[in-house]
Amino acid sequence: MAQDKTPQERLQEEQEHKEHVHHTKINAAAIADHILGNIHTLHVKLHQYHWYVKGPHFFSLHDKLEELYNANEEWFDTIAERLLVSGHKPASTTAEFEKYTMLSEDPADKYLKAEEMVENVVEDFRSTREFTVRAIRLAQEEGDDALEDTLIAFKDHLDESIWMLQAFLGKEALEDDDAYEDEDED
Amino acid sequence: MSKATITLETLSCPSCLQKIESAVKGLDGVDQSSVKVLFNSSKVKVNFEEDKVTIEEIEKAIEDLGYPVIKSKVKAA
Repeated sequence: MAQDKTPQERLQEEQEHKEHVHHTKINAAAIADHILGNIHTLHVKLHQYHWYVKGPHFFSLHDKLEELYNANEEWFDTIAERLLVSGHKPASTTAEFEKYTMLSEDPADKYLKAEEMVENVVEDFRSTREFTVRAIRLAQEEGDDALEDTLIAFKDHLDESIWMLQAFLGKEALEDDDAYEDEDED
Repeated sequence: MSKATITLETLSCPSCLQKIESAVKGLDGVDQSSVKVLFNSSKVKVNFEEDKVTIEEIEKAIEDLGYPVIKSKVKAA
């Protein structure tokens, strides 16, 4: 019985299970931990840019970044809760999110130009989208329709945000995106 | 400067991506900022100086981590 074990023993079992899944057959929940890690990093990074953005676009970007971190915060909760509903155990501590995140931060980013900040956000959203696409495919294979649906809605949000930020930079939605480039070049 | 696209077997876990990225970035002659590992298409993109490092050496660095290389394509950049 799970009740007979200490929280520490239960955590150890959970971690062993997660390690096993990571190194044998990865599942949607394991990829989703990386998505949550990315969202956790973005929470801080979008605030950093919201605070430090400078120049003639200050008012529009300051507002836009606030809108983005608020949406980001909602997805953090929505995705984690959906994982719980499906019987998974999403990461829930700062140390775990730091372990799973694929994004980086830099205190020197506060001195970036506004356009460079926007480029970085696009890159981070694209990286997060890559993992989301894989998690969607895995949720499909696992027959977890509702988790798949939640992840698709999150991808839709990322797609739309990337399009808008790219438009701000004077670019097309998929421009310079290695994940979507033409495969015909060979 | 040469530009390589290296196709790998399907990457199953995002941590593999980080290991491969840091191994390739650690090679002498590799343009660090050009290194990009694409998770869903399982490809590594990298620009490098051919007189300092060869495509075979880059492939070996990846294979030594346990990720088989399926093919590489090198173009002048």
